[in-house]
Amino acid sequence: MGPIGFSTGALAYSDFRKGLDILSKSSARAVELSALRNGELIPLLDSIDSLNLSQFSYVSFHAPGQFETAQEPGIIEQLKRLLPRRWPVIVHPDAIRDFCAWVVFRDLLCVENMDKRKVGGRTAKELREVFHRLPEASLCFDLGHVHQVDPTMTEAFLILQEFGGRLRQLHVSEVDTESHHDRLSLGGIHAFQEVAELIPPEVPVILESPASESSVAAEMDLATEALGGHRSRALMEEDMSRFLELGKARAALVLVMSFLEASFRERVGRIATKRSEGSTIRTLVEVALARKLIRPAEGEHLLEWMRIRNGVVHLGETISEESANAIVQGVRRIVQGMPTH
Amino acid sequence: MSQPKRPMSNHEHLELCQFGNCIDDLQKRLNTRWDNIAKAQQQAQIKLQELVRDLVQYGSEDTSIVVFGSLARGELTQGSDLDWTLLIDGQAEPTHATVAHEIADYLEKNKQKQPGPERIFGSMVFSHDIIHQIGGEEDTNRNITRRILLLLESRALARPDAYERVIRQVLHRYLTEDRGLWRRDRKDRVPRFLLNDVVRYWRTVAVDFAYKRRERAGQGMALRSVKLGMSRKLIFLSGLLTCFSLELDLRADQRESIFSLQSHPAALIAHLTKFLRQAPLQIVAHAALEYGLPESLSRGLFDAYDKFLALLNDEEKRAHLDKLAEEDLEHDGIFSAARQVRHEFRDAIQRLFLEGDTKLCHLTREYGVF
Repeated sequence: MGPIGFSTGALAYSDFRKGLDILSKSSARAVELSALRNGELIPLLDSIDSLNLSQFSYVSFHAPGQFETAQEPGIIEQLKRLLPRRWPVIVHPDAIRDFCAWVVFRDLLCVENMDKRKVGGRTAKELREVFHRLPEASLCFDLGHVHQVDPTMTEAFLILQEFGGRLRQLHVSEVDTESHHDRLSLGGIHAFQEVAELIPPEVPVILESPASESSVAAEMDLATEALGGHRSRALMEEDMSRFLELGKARAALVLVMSFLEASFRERVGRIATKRSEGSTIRTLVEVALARKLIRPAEGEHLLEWMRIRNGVVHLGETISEESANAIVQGVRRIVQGMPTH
Repeated sequence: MSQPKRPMSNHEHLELCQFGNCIDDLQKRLNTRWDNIAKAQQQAQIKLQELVRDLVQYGSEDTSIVVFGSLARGELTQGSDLDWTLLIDGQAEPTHATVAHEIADYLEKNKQKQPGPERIFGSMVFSHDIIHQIGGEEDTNRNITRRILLLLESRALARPDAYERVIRQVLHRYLTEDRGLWRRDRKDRVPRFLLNDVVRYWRTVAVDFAYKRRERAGQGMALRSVKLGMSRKLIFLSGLLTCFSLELDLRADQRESIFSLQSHPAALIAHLTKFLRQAPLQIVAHAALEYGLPESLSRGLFDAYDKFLALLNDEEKRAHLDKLAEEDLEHDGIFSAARQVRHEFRDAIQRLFLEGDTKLCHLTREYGVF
């Protein structure tokens, strides 16, 4: 997975300094500076030189999402100030009136797929019309929006199939029935996992969940779980070791369970005879037990560790470095002991 | 910072089957005209435009006005009734009932023949049961009818968002919960969970024919009998062809590509949705064009259907059949002629699906019977 971080708007609405302050205490490596409301644009642009963005390897800028036709030329002129920085500029396609005027941003213009309340830009078909008018533009793929538009994630698949080559960044969050961004749920994570392997691993991830300072790390862990399954297992093992060395027990636990899932998907998923057998890590463990790929005692350990992980991620329970280390070593042992054929 | 690369999708080169106007193409190939089919299509188109114009304001991102029956099949004739529902896929709101009542009022004022007494249509329908209750005690006659007709014989009048979401979710269930479909050693890719429900629906309709005859003391039986053997059976045919299309319309490399990607059934959902968006008669015409059917067979099948629509469009004959008493059926000239048309249709279908050495016949024998 590419660098992960937050939109300043999701953390602190128009108070981008507060959003950046929250992120400075996290391991975020990506940020989207948000000027979602028109009035936020100039103050944010005027402040950029004074912002400390050194922790981020990826920075993007969210243009106002709604404005009057008469305001459009002025907004574009202001946004042109960003061109020398080569930051992607995220735009809502339904806000654009004069498509020609936006062409100047070329591939830095990053069109976001929309939620179900909008009348365009939601589906592959609707995005086709947008990209026809903005042939060089790239895509900001909002997984929450596309999941709301089509819970089966078929539309996500179709958009990635057709516009994957334009993909520049992800927006990740849950989006509720009223089209508000929300914290990630298990249902959302499972849905995102269904298309995670179609997303190139280096694409930056911007969370739009309304997280507080205390929940930023947890939300990034959940996004990693949703999208990290396609990372190479070798890379995951490296990160697990690094997290343990740094004393980040929680992060190591979340990652080792993603590692477990990726390993089981590769080895057990191959012999699963129906799709539902591979739909969750629990069912994969059940298949592995039924096929005697792991011993009953190992299966019990795995189920217990999953329970611990769920408690930590969803119920805010804590885990000691010692316990996290034991689980990491235990999972590694079980995965290594499984037959490879 | 590196630029993201294009994702490697197994489906990048996949171009699934395309539909044009297959009935027109078939007419050209056979150098014939089916005027009654064309007239019914035209009448349906006019009515659909009228309804869209007048009811568009009632659709939203969470509600679709869905029509079923002859209008959805694109075969509107004189005296066709108008089966509709307000399909809701989202938060329940008290105003949904108001909207449903206003739609019913509009149709009544415009003298549309209202749905039958079974209460399958003509009101609000929520997506929950349609998606979640497939099989089991809660999957009532009403629910299976709504679900299968939503797939095989429906059109959204305006704002199809909710409609398309529900169809995809139903297909997602049929495909992802089909144990055999995803087996690596599977000989044929036939979605049997879906197929079995299509077959079950057809048998349910046939059984309900007998039930209605008893309940209504034979009233309206003549017309229902003709419709059962023609338009109801046509839906069944289109359902079978849709299920078999994975084998008949996709190339081997396309199937391989779809089924090698275990993570998502999206390509299958996209393929089946493309099929299901067509009117049933278009699907049959597509089969006639693409599966190498003998011309005499295609001609026989569509000639019979054209005669059926001529009969329904004849107000006098339709009214006569509607009122014909059960005891008079055997000696009635109009009914005998209608039955003859029905038999011509049946014979053509049997040849198409059962009597031959084609892949379609093989699939029907292998999966459609036992």
